[in-house]
Amino acid sequence: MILMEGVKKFFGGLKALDIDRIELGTHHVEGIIGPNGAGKSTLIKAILNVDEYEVNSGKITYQGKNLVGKKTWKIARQGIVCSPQAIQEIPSLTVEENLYLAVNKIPEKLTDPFLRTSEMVKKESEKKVEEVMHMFSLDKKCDCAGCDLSTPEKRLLNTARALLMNPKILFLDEPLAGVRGKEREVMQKFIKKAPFPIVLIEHSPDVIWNTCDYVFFMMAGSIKIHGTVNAVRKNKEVIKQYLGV
Amino acid sequence: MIDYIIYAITIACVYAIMGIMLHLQFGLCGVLNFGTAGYFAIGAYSVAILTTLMGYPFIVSVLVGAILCAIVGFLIGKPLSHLSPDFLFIVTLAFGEIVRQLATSEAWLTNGVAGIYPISNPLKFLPFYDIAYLFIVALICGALIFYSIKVRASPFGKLLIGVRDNPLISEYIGKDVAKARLTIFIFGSMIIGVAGSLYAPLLGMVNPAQFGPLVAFVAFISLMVGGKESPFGSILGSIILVFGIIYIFDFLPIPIIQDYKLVFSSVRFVVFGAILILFLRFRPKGLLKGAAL
Repeated sequence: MILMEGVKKFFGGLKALDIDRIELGTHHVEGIIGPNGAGKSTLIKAILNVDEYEVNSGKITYQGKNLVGKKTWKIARQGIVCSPQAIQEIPSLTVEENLYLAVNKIPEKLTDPFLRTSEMVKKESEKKVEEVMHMFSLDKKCDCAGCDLSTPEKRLLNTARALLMNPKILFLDEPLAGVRGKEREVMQKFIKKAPFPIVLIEHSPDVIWNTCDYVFFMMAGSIKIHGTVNAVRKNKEVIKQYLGV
Repeated sequence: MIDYIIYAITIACVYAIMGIMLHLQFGLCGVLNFGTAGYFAIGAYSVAILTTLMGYPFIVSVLVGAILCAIVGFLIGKPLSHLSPDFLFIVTLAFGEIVRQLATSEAWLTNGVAGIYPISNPLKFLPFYDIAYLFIVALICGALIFYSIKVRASPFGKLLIGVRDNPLISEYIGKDVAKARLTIFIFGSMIIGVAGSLYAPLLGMVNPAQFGPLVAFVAFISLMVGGKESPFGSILGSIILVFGIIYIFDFLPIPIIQDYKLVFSSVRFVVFGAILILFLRFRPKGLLKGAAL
């Protein structure tokens, strides 16, 4: 679905990305693994064309349509949604407001207080938001300010918000970092059941082997090895460079 | 005395309009607009030039002023709306000064430092025209307060808060951050221009000295003291600063203060600065903390 060809990204003299060809979103859950600094997050940011991450050369297309040079918010609108690694809540809005902001597809305007109130947005998508809130067990916290949530709850909020964007392909950048116990189960259940392709960056090998169908191994900015879970798991190079004995 | 009180309240309402716009721009969206005095001047000069020198009706000149401010706001905001608001701060500060310098140097249009006078009150034909004028200004001010209360609860207000708190995630969830900043910047600039237009007939004259950077500084200090996230913040802040400090220094029957009035009139800016620092240190959100979540 997302095709990257000959993509290169430099930060000064440092080669951060050097990808010959990669197709993302062709399997249900795809994992990206690799040591720190391998370029896993940079890959996602390059696809989304976040400020300083615009690629220096190469082609990125989504279903044949070019993505290079497009604005991040437009790419997100197309259904290429990312739940970023850093916890990113809007601290002054409540959990509910955070979610309704994401679910509202109609651009906000100055005339909103009169022509399109929050109640109207709520009416339109109440069912969907409540469902998602329930799924991530955020419903008890719905009136809680974003900044008052615990770290795992913020991660859940991140993912819930991404889900409400109606993703066609969802990038989860370490969604399980710092998430334990019940929240971890919720998140893993969601990843397995999601009705759209997910690209998962994760450091925990167990999660990768249990949830992914296909794995990319990255090092020094490029995809070294890719294949099905079992193939990558047994690959000598991956074991030597990353997994250890 | 009554006349003076009416005049003071009308001026207060004009500044309140400006304060509400700064609340929307800076308090909600984090867009720093230090060119306040510039837009204020454009509005005031539009009225002065078009009514006094050219004889157009007041309403027309207010509209022209507002449109001019919107255009200028677009020209300044468009290239900067993608960047962090710090850049906007520098550019708008410079813009305010440029407008003042232009008003000083382009004497063929603005009559230079002497300014333009008299600007007659557009309601002069009415018996109690100053009260009627106050009524209109207060009505506009009230409408804007109403709007700013409503906007916080609307999807647009939430977007503004999202853009202020976390522009990156706002992009990630498909929001046009630059457009939100630009919209509120242009809207605010336009209304501040209208405030300037309403201000001109009150004083009856305009000259460049009225629109120094101090206008923006005092407005921002009021906003920070009163509470930048509350629609009433800047109003409370101005009452405290203007009435509480300027007037206390002017009218307080303490002999020392009265003897050294001139000295104390300069000291009050030191007091403003000290108050600002104290607030930023001990109560950064200001007195009114904004609508409850």
